[in-house]
Amino acid sequence: MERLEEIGRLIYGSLSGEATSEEKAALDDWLAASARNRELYTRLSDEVYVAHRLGQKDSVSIRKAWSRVRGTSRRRRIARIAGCAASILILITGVASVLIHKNHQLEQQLHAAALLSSLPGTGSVTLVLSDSTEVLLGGERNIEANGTLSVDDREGTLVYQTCGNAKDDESRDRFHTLRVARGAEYHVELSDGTRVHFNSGSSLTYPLTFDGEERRVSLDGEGYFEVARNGKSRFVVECDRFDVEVLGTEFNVSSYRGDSEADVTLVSGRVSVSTPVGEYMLAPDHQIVIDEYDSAIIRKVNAGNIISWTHDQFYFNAERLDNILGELSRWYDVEIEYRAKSDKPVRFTGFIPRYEQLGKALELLKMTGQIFLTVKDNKVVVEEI
Amino acid sequence: MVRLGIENIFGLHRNEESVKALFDGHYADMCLFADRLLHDFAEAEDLVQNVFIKLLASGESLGGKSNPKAYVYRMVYNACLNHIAGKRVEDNRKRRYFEHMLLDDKEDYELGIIEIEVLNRIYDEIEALPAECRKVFRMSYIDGKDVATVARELGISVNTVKTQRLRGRKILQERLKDVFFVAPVLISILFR
Repeated sequence: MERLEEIGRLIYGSLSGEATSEEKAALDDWLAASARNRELYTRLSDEVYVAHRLGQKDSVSIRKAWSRVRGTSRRRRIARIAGCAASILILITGVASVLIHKNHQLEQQLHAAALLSSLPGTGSVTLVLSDSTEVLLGGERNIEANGTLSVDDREGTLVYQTCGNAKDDESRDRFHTLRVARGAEYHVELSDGTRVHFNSGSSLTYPLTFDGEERRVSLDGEGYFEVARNGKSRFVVECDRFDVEVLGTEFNVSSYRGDSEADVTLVSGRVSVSTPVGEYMLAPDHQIVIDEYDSAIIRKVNAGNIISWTHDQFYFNAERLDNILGELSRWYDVEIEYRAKSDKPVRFTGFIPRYEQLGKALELLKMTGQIFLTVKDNKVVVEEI
Repeated sequence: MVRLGIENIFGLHRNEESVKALFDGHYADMCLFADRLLHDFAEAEDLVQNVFIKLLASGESLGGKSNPKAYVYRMVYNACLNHIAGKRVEDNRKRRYFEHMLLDDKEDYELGIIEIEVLNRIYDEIEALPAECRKVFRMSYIDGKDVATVARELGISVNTVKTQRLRGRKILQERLKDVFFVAPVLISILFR
């Protein structure tokens, strides 16, 4: 290998014109040795070829590739260890019935270990275009470009940009839906400059461009919105059980269909939240919690904590345990069953790191001494003590 | 209740760090290396990933190898041969035969390694350009985007893009005389 690297160094030296006369002589010998050596040298002095190769190198996403390598090898290794363990058991016990039982138990344990070591970031992000075609996001490419609008995927953020002042009635009537699967998160920058960071298991539907008095989008799930002020044009987020209306401000909405409680937290500015029952105004650092019967309470919170999920931490503020588990289940894409003991919900407060293994998060909850954890048939079971 | 530590008992982590370090440092290069033989970059990526999956799943320790990098390049090379042969070539004699038939001999492996070495040196040279200039240069030359696209994406004017591109080219021409000539000038030895 050193010898080969040395030849590489000689070629580079020659290309950069820095080679000494001995080095030139050594390279000449190498070039004279075979036609294929000369062919390689010719290629490496071709700007177009070199640019093409470096472009290939740049196109690689090491992080993504590693997450696939790690995930697959882990599953295989566990299967292999289970296999080895099984054969050791055969030697030791020699009793088939016992063996089947033990082997099953061991596989269960190994399975549990795999489950608890689950990492987030495995889910996919899909953009549904107005003609219902689905595009997988997460790369670096242009999705659509015409005279008035361009849509670009920039590895982690989907960006809409309008060009010039041309009115485009057609794109105002076209809608896109961004779907962030369980175990993923994503950003979007809408054409009016509004930015949204989505938590896993969320989807947002919005027009390609906005016009007039109202900018209206529809959300299922959790998103942190930084709404760009746009004259008198209101920005409305439609959720399952309520609407959030603002002019230009930062706020967090968590409203998953199927969750028992939804909430809106204001970071700055003013928002109004309207439910079937009434309309509420929120001040900064206040949160409105709306339950399944549309009854709402407003409480003072630290908004910075609430949006800490955008900085790789979960924060729970007297949050119901079933909602916490729902959040973990979405983020790690693992099924979690919750067995409550009484009707009165258990609530937790605290931070949990988002990019650690699932086991770590559960361990933190367990430390409160209020729950009991088991793993059964590919899912985590959480029981109240 | 399952102990969280169970995977440590079975040594799941034992090898992972050294393999990860190798992966981070050489994954992209190994894909280039494999692509030279397969002429299909997506396939090359799959193949290199599978080599690492095998390496991790086997729990084989790289610590004992005198040159882990060369060892993995070898694995990638063999995987390429197997891929081209369309089946696993277990037998060493058979492999040599294939190597000979398909690729002219081990010269090919060596040329692949040499190429990566040279490309990396050129890559480093581009990385060493001044920041703004490097961005423009990479987008327009390496990623093949046109001037207008680069200008839009970076939020700068078309003229700035042109200036920065020319500047990068000039610097590189200084440092890489034989690569960044408009028409490559080949030294006489090539046609000897």
